Amino acid sequence: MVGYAAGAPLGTSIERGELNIDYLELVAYTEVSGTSVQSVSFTGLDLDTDRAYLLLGFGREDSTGAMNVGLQVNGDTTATNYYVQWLLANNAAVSSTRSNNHYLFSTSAAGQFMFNIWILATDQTLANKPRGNYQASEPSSSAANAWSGTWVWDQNANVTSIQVMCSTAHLGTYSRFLLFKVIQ
Amino acid sequence: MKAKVLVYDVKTKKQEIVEQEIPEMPSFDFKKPLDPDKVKNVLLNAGLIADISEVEA
Repeated sequence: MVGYAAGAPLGTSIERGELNIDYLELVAYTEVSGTSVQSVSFTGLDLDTDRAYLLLGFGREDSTGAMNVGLQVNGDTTATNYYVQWLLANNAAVSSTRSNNHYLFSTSAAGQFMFNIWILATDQTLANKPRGNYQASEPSSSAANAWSGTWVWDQNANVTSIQVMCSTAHLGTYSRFLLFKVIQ
Repeated sequence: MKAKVLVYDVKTKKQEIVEQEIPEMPSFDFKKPLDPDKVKNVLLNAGLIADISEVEA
């Protein structure tokens, strides 16, 4: 039987008389300041050990033009090593496709966006291609967009770093990211 | 090309903005209009239309 103690932190469980604490640990919080950047890179990771990462992001394009936002790992900047399948809702219009690059979504000039992605490691013996599911949005009073999709890095390897990689160098100041891992 | 990258090391909890050599990233249009020919073929294959002329009309 699994029960949850009243008033316990989220994820705290009592199982067979033992106190098991499974929760997400914030391993990184960072904010772009001083200058716009093209990429935000988290280093010192080990997906095989940590099993899963949750990356949350809030960002803004610094008013230059449309920008694509994507995810790369291990410094692999070859866009064609990634595949994304996505569904986009824009007002009453819905579109979908599979793209052979790392882009999760796009933002318009001066647009502000949010996204989250779970990145999971599969078993080493079963072609350990890291995969992720994500949601992204560009909330706006006039032209809101919402994405839902899945991402894969087409390589059989552990993930030791994660890069939020944009199509232009206009990921503006005040953009912020939170990276969590699972504690078992 | 050189690009600014914010690097955060989760082990040291330190961050810095550095200039790194990265290739030019491709552009991608998420709102590119659907290819009319592909749409026609999808409708045709799904049996929703009998022939292309229905769409042309």
